Formats: sequence, structure tokens, C-alpha cells
Amino acid sequence: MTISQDQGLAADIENAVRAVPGVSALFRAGTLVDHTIDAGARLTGLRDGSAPLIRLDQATDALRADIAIGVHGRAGAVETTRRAHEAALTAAAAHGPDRVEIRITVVHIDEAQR
Amino acid sequence: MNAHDAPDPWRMGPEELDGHTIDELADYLDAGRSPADPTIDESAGCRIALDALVRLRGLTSELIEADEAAEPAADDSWVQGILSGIALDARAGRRIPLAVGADAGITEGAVRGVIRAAENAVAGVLIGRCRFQGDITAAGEPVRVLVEASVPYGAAIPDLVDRLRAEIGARLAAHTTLNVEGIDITVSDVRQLSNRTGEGR
Repeated sequence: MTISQDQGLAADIENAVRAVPGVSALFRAGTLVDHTIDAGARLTGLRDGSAPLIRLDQATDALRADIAIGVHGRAGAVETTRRAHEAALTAAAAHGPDRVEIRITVVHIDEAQR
Repeated sequence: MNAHDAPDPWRMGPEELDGHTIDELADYLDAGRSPADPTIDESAGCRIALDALVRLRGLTSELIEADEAAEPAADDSWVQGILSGIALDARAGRRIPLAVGADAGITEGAVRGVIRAAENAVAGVLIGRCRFQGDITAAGEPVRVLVEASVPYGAAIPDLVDRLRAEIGARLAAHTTLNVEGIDITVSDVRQLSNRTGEGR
């Protein structure tokens, strides 16, 4: 896929996951090193602050989407994650890559919304 | 609680919370989270730590003043201990698998945040450190949850502990698929409240 196609796919997955009931926010996926590099890129203007938060990696046999979500306290993380995974898969399938692996991690439970 | 067992949260390296310290997060709360700082708002670790700081501040200043008044030697070790726990526990830590038939998980930091938030349901209780015993990264493995808590003087400790254990258990069931074998709660502090003994927050 091209860079623009990747960004379109990431944006569509992001929108689909945000729309899932119980999802409170999306966070930037990746390691601390990734976050540090990203913060530097944003500070220097090399990266738009509105760039997709989802991380896409092209593996040998599949495109992998790494997604970090927050979940409302009143919504169970287990059920919300299941729905978010389904939504992400559906959004990815619309772009037609041969194989997409979705990896979702809950990184925050928003207790204010409990 | 022995504050000497844990690093000073105010001196932790900036890498602990996506480049921020507990001190900076406290200042951010003081400023009403304004102007918005996306490096804080978009950091899961900072959000977990902010949640805990807000709850800590939910304890009235009266409670803290009473505690200090009761111990004029200015022993604020329990506050330091709580802050140490907040900073350490907010780190993402390991990824705990969620058994949902897909590649899904929840960070150790998020689960600790869930455990800490059980304070909301049991008035007067403050949770210090929480740890896991067992391999939380292996689905289905038996796990014990170890929690340290501070309770107000005069409260029936067995009752508080029972309610705290039930609340933590319910939260873990809602947000994880951990095979929780037991929840061990150690009351490590009893806080003296001068005129409101036995009352909650």
C-alpha cells in the first residue's frame, strides 16, 4: 500500500473504533521510544498533531494495525475490546488488503465516565 | 507504609510518565488542566496518574490537615507512599491478554488504575501499591492480586477490607479475563482523624 493509502486506512479504522460504544479515546500506539520520536516530530513540525494514532506495519504476510484505546469505566473493557476489534476488522476489510491483523490494547479506563 | 521502600515520586526520571513527572502532573491539575497539554492528555500513563491524583485530592484538606496535626513531626510518609505507588503503577507495564478470541489485551498500568479506583467505592480507603503474583501475561494462569491500603482510624477494618476486596473483584471481572485466585489486602496505615473518627471522606 502507498503512504496515502495507509493513512486513509488508519484514519478509517480510527473512526470506526472511536464510534464503538464504550470507547472513550484513542491513544498513540507503540512503545515509549515511538512516543518520544513522535513527540519530537510534532514539536519540529515534521508530523501533524492530527496524524492517525494507529500504527500500521507491513509484515511479510499481513498488514498489522496496532490500536491503543481508552474505555469508559461503566463499559467493560472485555466486551468493548471485542466490539472494537470487530469494527476495526470491518473497516480494514473495506480497503481490501489481503490480510490484516488487528491488535488492540486497552491502555486506560476512564473512571470519570463510570 | 514505609516510604523508604519506594523511589521518591518527585524525583523519578521523566521517562516514567511519557516525559512528565508527578510534580508536573500535580501542577497541571492545579492549573485546571489549562492550557491543554496534549503530551499529557494523550498519554495513557499520565491519564492514569491524573485519575489517581484527583482521587487523592478528593480526600478533603481537612483529612490531610488532621493527619498532620495528629503527628506534628510532619510524618507525611503515607502520602509519599501513595504518590510513589501512583507514579510506579501508572506505567504501562506488561500486556495482559484479554480472552476475546482476538489479539487483544490491557496494560498492567490500566488494570492497576482500575484497582486503585476501587477507593471510590469504599469511603476513606486509600490504595498504596498493588502488585500481581503469577504470570499475568499467560492467559488462564492463576493470579493473586496484592494490595496495600491505608484506612481511617476508627473504621471497622475487616468490613472495609471485605468491601474493598469485593469492589476490586467486580472491577477485575468487568475489565479483564484474569484468572484471579485471590485478592490479598494488607492494611499498612491507619490514619488518625481528629474530630471525624470513623467517618469517611
